[in-house]
Amino acid sequence: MNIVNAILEKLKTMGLLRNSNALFKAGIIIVAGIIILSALAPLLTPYSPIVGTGDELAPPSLKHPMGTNNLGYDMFSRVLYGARTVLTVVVSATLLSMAIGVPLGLISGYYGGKVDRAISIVMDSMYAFPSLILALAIAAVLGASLINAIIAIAVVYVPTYFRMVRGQTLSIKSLLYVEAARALGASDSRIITRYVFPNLLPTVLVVFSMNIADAILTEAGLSFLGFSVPPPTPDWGADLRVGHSFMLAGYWWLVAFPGLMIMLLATGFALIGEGLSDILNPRREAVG
Amino acid sequence: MTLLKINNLKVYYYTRRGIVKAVDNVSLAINKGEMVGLVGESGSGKSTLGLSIIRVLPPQAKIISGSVIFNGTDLLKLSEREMRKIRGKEISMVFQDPLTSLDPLQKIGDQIVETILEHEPNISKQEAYNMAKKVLQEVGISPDRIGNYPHQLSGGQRQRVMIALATVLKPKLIIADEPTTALDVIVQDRIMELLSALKKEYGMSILFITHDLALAAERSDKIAVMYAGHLYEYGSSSDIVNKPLHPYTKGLIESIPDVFMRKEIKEIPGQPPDLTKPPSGCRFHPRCPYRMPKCSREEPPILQVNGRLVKCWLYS
Repeated sequence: MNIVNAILEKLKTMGLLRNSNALFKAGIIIVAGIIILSALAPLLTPYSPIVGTGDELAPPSLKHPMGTNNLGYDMFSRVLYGARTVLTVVVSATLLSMAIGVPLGLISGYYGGKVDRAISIVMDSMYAFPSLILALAIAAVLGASLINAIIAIAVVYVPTYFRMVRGQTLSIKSLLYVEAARALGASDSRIITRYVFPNLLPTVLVVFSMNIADAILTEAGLSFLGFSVPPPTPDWGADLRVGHSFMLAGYWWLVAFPGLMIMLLATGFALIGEGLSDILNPRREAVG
Repeated sequence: MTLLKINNLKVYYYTRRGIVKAVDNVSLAINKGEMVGLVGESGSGKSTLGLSIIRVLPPQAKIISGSVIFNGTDLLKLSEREMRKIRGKEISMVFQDPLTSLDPLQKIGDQIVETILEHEPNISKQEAYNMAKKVLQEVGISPDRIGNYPHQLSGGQRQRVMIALATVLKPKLIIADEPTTALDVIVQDRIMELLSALKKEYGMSILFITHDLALAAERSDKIAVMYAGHLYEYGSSSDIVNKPLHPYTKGLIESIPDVFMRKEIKEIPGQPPDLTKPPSGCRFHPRCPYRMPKCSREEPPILQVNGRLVKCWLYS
């Protein structure tokens, strides 16, 4: 609770809650819009995303705003419900990798020494792989399912959190207030949870939203290659795979709409991240 | 009654440039209810001495030998867990820079409450809050500031909060490491006034670390002078100011500017030595106007002269 209050207070003092910047606002609007649309999907479309309408490869019309695909599924409905799949996979994966990467980074940065070196070597070697390749390898080993896609994407992003948190911990632990807390009898665990962690939380937030943007692309890549949720679950990447073989025949709506959504959602999160990092920038804080 | 007795303490820093003998064979005793000013220039080892009492040294520093007897126990022999119980409760520390020694994300009240609960888990949160309010009042901060964040306070107020943090559990000893250096003179005086008042009220002992001999003399009962890792003179403030024995102490006193310009400021020639290769014999000899051939060869012993301690061949 304390942490949440502190962040809110900090955000408030930085003017975020009053006059936030345009990038951040745009990102919030895009992301919130997509979340609301996907939540309201049953009200917005009469068609199920996994039941054929009998109307195959129909172009966009009033009846099917985004057309239908080769199996007669309504694309508008698939795009809306697909957002649920994408958001579920991506958000839980990023949260999971945050839950692993942040504590590891805290331990590594705070205690240093051999533990730090061991964790750092593992993390750096993971970081050396291109994210999609690593996610593919993991998903291929585990098999294609929603849970496995989450795990594969989560593992890929652990080093991002780890490196950032470790670096921040190193600099925060040398600050005077940490030394002062130690001199007043605070234990290591208390220093980490009460003094170090809250102070790096703003940075974690920025990395979190940037990571989601990246994870959306990785998820799309995974499912495009058939390593995410199995069909007929609606999923943008999977729809791209189905659609791309019909694209040359002129059925552009099969790829255009899922592709557009991937782009929009990723951009939305990236904008939030950009905006946040701008807002949380210490130099800006000094001026404002 | 002796509260703290430091015996032959050696603290070395292991750096890439070599071993820095920051505190070398220093002995010092502090009595109950006494304020001791520990004076020395930057790099003389005075802060290191303060930090080694509560063992919060940076990782490259090692306590080589000696003992720190506090209330009958050798602090250097305690485990980290036992030491943690001492810090903040029996011995507290006030740091130099009040602008950075408070967590910017925690309300000042929460930081005080946290320190209380860390040491007294049986106290309820409500009681702890009341204690925090009381201690804020004591240090001259209005208790309704309890919900303020550090950035909402001025430098002097923040140092008061630091003192509140350090004194909330009424420790027996406060180590104040340059507590007024970052503050202007008026605020500096008030903070010193506050420390003196707390000392009187609760019979606390204070180790006041400073480079400002005049300030130390004004408030402390005793003064200890450190130079290049050695303790060179230790005695009552009036003795040391009125009749300094050690040439270095003399030099320090002569370098204090006089507001009425009645005397000229005399500086001590030369520079403090590089402690990776300290001078042989007496570490002050290269800068000493009274040096004798013996000084560069043999380290002077600590001599007792008229009830004070001096480390100089002039008095043997």
